[in-house]
Amino acid sequence: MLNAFYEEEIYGFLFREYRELGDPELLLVSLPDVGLVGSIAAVNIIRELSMKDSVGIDSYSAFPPVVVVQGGEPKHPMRIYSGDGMAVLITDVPVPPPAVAPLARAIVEWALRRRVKAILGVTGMGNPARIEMEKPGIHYLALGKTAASMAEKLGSEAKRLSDGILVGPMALILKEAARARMDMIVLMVDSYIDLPDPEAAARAVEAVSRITGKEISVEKLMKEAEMIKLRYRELMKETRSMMAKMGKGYEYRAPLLYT
Amino acid sequence: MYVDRRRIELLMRRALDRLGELERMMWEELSESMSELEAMLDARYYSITDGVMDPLYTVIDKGDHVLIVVDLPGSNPDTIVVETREDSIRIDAKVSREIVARALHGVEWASRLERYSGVIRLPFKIDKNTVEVERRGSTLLIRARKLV
Repeated sequence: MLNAFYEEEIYGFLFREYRELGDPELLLVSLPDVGLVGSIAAVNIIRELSMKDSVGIDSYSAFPPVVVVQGGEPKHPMRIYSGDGMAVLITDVPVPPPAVAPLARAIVEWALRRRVKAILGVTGMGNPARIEMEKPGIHYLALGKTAASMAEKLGSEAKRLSDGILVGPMALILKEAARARMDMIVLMVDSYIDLPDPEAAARAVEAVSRITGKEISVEKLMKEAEMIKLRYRELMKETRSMMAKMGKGYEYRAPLLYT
Repeated sequence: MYVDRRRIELLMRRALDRLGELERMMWEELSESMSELEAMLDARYYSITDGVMDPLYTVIDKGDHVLIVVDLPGSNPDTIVVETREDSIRIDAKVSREIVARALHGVEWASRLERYSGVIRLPFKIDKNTVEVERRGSTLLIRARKLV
């Protein structure tokens, strides 16, 4: 575990910074959710942009007692990678439902303190018709002017979500971002609900590529799809149980107010 | 300014009690989630020692029929066996050790994983004679008409 040059505790979560972050304008957040779209996409982005592990996030009460070992180096289960004016948050463990609210608050607060301009949440949108889709659809929500102008770059490929119910970590981060007046885009890609979906993740990467203007290849991701499914199956099982507790089923209900 | 000390003490006590109650509730919820996670990790431990993985699947209700999508990444297609009953489907398949080793970065325990095996309990009964199995890569699509 690298020696931190700066540590701060935000809402019970310890942020240990051990590498210069630069000045990231965008914080991409991926937490285990539907089809693990965000998690798979984020790891591909980190790899393709050769981003550096810069911040470890931990909480002895909210996370299981886990240390992740990578290349012989022990790491925190939740980490922020940075590089190229961007930061990416990933986690190796699912977040227990009671810890989601304080974590959402902590992430937004950290982003504010680091003067991040916008948060980009990447997640899946469970669609029972996913199996019939060759190209999963991209949907988005934009909060604030900066986010809206970023979302414009998605063009006609993505649709603004007009009606629906968002449940889970991304919903809480969105609410906290609104409270803190932080700009945020939530990017949702049609995916399997409880199967790891690398194809949907590839679509998410393409969308991130358009928003950031960075060229991010999905070739390796598509080529390794089978291995990725195998690697992520246990996290999917853990996430499935957490999603049920968070009331993810609400997403399949239409909002009551209509116009 | 007149300060009702007893009233302030009472309010503070109430606030502290409430905080304590909230903390207790949060801990209870957290430990409940953690024990579920622990149970899952225990199950995983046994699956590793047995060398058997249970397949991930999703059941989609399509009105008069049902679609079951089963993910068998790393499986050898020639070894996939599907046995259907009215209320359940049994899946067995051997895995390619090479793919498993590469996917799981060659960790020692991964070398023990040999096959997928599991029973999918269906939320409704199906007509066994209408079962169709389609394979798309390592994904199995099982379609069957529902029994009314």
